[in-house]
Amino acid sequence: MIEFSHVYKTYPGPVHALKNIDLKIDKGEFVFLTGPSGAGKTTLFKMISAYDVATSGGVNVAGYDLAEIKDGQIPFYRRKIGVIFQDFKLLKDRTIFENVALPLQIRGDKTPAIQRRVYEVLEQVGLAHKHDQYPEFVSGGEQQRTAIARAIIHQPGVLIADEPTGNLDPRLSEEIMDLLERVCSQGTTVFVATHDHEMVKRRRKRTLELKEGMIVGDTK
Amino acid sequence: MRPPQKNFALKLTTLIVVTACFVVIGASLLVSKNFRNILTLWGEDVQMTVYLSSDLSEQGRQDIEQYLKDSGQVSDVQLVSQEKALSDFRVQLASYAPDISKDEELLKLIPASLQVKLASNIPASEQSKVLQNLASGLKAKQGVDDVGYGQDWVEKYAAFVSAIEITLQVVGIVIVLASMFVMSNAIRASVQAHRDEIVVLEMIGATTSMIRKPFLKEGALLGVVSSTLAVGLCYGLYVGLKSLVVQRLSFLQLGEHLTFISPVSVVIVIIGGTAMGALGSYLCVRKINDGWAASQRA
Ligand SMILES: Nc1ncnc2c1ncn2[C@@H]1O[C@H](COP(=O)(O)OP(=O)(O)OP(=O)(O)O)[C@@H](O)[C@H]1O
Ligand SMILES: [Mg+2]
Repeated sequence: MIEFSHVYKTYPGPVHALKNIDLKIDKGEFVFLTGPSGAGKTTLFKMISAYDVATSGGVNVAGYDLAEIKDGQIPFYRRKIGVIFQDFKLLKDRTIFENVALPLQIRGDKTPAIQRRVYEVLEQVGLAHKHDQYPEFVSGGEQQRTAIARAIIHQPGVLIADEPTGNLDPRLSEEIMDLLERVCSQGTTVFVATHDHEMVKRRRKRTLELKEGMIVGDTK
Repeated sequence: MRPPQKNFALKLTTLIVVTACFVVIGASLLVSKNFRNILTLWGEDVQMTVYLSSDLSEQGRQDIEQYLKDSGQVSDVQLVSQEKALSDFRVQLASYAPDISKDEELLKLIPASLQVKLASNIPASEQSKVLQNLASGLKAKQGVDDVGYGQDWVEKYAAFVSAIEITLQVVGIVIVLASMFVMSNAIRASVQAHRDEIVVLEMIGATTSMIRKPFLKEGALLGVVSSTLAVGLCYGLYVGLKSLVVQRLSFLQLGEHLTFISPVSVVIVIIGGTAMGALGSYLCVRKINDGWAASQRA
């Protein structure tokens, strides 16, 4: 589902953010990405979500060759993946329902189908009763669950989460991780970057360790 | 509970700023247009007197009149015969010097003349040149003694008019550029307020045209509303100033010569304003492409 071969990413400076990355993540796998600050975790996720291109090497996700992808194709590629951020990135002037519905609206789905699917997903993340609330007026954990609902509503093949629990306390973090594992168990490949070593150890999932732009450990 | 509409204040400010810019542009158009009207009006008094020699035949005079008409630069030619000139002269002088008006010898010296009016489509700045050419053509003709047209005054007036026109053009360009700068900043600020939204839309796979469409619509709406408002305000300004000129400066007799920009120009201004608003927004919504800014540590 996600495949990197000999990927290098060099920023002007030069900063060698990624060096000779080789990795392969299968469909339906749950993988953690750890490493100290500046190791290159976000850079790797930027490659996966087509926000940046590798300086050299091949990146293949969900059947798309991201080294060759054209600008016009990127939006359509992004509709095949889901992305979660530390700061949720919800739209303040829209309700939880409206935030979650966005990916389907963009895809051009019909309103009744959107309604049905939004309530289904809100049920799944336990937020059905808050559908008409605005993000500012719900807790951090609920905001992140809204963001997850938005990221999975279109049933993407790949879900990437860059420090999804960075702004949450330990109890809420566990809740969010449970939720991500459930999403994975339904067939979505989930790739999570985190600083939280304790949690990674407890969860006993495949873990990739990055250091200075190189993969220095893979528990597979 | 709906969060307060923070953007409302910004939208209102943008509308006010853009409207103000259009008012400034419209007002300068109006001022320069009416200034030109007045200058042309004052320039219409330019006349030329062609003094005819006393031995000129009827045929000769008609030739000269024909020559003037053929030039296409003349709107009116009036013959002032010697008798008419004499009686005018008598009337004018009678009260000052009753003796002279009886001196038949002196009166024989007063020639017949043609009073020539320039065509009104000749711009004030060209009048001097046109008159010069006509005069030199006429002087070469048999039966023309002299040509007079207040050379000095006409030349100075022409110079004055071209100076004013250049000034109006420079000031106009400066005003338009300054307004466009202010306007583009106002639009950019309102687009910037939607930055988060653009970031999210990009992230979930909205195409560039999907992202731009609402901004195009909003920009076009801003353009229509503000340019229409501006035309309305300019009209109010125009009516107010006109009544002021008519009442307080009635001796200038300018009232009937002041005009508003033509209906066609009004339509052009509104369409142009709409296009400018839409284009401004369109150009401001470039790809932002930094959905990851928040996860980046400095
Ligand atoms: N746009 C950029 N231009 C220049 N250098 C960059 C850019 N983005 C990232 N870098 C550099 O690349 C390296 C890797 O950064 P990255 O953000 O991927 O680290 P990270 O593992 O996500 O760190 P953190 O845990 O702090 O989020 C860093 O040295 C960073 O300064
Ligand atoms: Mg990072």
